[in-house]
Amino acid sequence: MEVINYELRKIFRYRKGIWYLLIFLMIKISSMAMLDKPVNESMFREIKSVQYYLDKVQGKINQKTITYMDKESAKIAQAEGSLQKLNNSYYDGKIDKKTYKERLKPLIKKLKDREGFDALFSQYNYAGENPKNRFLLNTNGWDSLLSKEHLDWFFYVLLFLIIAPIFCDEFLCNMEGIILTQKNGGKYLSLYKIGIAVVLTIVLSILNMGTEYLFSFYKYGLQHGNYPLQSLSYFADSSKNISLFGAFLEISFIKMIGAVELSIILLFSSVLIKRYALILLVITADIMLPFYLFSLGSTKYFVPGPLGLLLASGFLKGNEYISDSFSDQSRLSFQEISMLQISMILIITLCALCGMICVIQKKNANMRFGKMRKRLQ
Amino acid sequence: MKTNRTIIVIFLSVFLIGLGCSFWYIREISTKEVHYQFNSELNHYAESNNYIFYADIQDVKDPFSMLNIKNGKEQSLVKDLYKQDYSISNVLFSEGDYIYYMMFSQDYSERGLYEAYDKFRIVRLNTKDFTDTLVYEDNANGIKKKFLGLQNIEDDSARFYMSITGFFLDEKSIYFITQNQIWKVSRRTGKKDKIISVASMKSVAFDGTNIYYINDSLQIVKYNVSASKSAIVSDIATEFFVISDSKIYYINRRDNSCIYSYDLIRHKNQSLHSRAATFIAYDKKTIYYIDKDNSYLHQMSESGTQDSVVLKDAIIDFYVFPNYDEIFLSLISKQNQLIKVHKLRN
Repeated sequence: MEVINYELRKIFRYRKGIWYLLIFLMIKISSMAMLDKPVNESMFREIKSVQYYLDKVQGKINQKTITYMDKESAKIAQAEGSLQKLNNSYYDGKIDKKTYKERLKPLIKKLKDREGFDALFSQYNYAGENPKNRFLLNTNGWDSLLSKEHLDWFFYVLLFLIIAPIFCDEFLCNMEGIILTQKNGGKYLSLYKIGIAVVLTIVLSILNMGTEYLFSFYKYGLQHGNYPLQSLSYFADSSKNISLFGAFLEISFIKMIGAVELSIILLFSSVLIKRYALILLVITADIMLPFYLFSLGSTKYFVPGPLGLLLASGFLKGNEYISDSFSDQSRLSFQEISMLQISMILIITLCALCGMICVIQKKNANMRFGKMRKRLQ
Repeated sequence: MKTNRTIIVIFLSVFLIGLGCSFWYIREISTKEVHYQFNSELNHYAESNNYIFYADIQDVKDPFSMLNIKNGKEQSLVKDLYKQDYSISNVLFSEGDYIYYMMFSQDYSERGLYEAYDKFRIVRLNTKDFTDTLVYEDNANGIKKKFLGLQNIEDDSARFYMSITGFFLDEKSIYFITQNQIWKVSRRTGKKDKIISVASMKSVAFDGTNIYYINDSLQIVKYNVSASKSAIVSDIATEFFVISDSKIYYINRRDNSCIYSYDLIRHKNQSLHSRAATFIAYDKKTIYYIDKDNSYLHQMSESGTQDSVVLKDAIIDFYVFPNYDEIFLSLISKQNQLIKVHKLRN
């Protein structure tokens, strides 16, 4: 236990990890507050009138919803015509000012709700294409949380700042020789360090995802987590049978595995390379290269690097096509990844992680030499 | 000590340069005096010193032509667009020597020949030397790429740009008119704000500080852009108006659609003529209007006297330029083609 205590103190106090963490949280929250834009801007802007309609029709689309929406759109269209008529009859002197004002009020109110209705109507059209698994709801919150291929660079920098020095600092001040000659230093210390790194990464990524969740919750509201994932147009053709909240948990879990992989790669490369600058280069290349190498959007998820796992949202996405303006044909731009493939990718990743941990342990232990020494005696 | 002094010197010089730049920038803005005037009903044509510009509304892709007043040579406004697929909206905004137009273009320059970006642009054309400057550009794709092309975000701004029916601008912002709203977009940050919303947008005008528009009960509302305050202009009921330097010419809904003028300085309403009209335009000292009964083009003096028929044929639309002595008419009998007619002298 003492070892863990010492290591944590080294990470958070002497290497200023706690400050990095606080600065990260500050940057994260302020960047979200400043840069985050709602996916469906008109829905966000007209949230009051959207909510008014949603209270009546949210959820699965049934006959009642259809008749309500039809009626309401007819009412709004009618209001426009009646406004014209009302203005005509007032300015032609057929009605007096009092009746005019009385009749004008409800018409204007109806027309004010029109924009919210328009925003909801496109969502209604989308859901109507496949009413089985597309429900009506305010999508902005879940969209901001799930519907993006988002690389969280601040988080990766934080991981680098906290995880890389765990071994690198020892190399930098030539401590590794001293550690290896100690009784426990040559045996278990590196395992402790790896364990601490993994647990820290898990905690940090939970913190990271939690911040995002809370942000979306307070800015947009995350209601109806039990609605199917396909309610969001980003996951339109996904064949996975999962709820919105379930998708969030799954994506968070995959992202967490990705973060753990990233930090193990950090440890692995720091043991092999022993230099900060080179490690940073390796990590950046590892994350960035797959993004540019493949034309098909889904291929990067199959690469056994941390990128796919860190993005995670593609694992739940359905097939996607883009239309080519030259040939007028649509071409596949994203191929759905099946559950079997996901589990295969996770298993391969875990195996690779075990391999890397073995190498780290081998490089940082002198157990084998101990045996040899015995034999020599 | 020495390093400290160097740091202080560097810091001070950066600070002073920054201060100088900002002073220069402020002076630049304040010394520039521009007279803005915009009428949504008259935004299909413009005039500069030697050229007139006008839109043929039937041409959807490239509607604008320009005509050299001196030698009568006519050519298309946008000439060279290498490798680009584009379409230009038929509305423009003119200010001094500049005219501004909107275009949608497909840009292949960023990702090779097969993946084009749809872009929405506002281009400023200097009518003296015909150099053009990009004033505003935004993504009009369904999907927006952010930060090194790494993040895909769905985007509905394409729909917004498609719905624009007119635009005008001042130093700070660009204003977009859609079917039932007016939006203010910051030229520096690109921030979009909805400033005006009505059931259906009719005539809109802008005089540099105020936007004039017609509200749901057919009154003209004056919206101050810098103060974001609106006030109803006197007691007017109309569905059509245009502004000139000091007057609003409008079709009075209370008085059988006759033409009235409202003096913006003296706040006075005045009846100009007792004929019902559907459309008004003006040049230097003459007011032109389309008669409601037979759709003939009439002209009259500023005070409403000397009314005469310009052409005895039903027209839909017409363009009249202050310094060019021909009027462009689109006649119903000739399938809305643009016909030129000489101005009558009063």
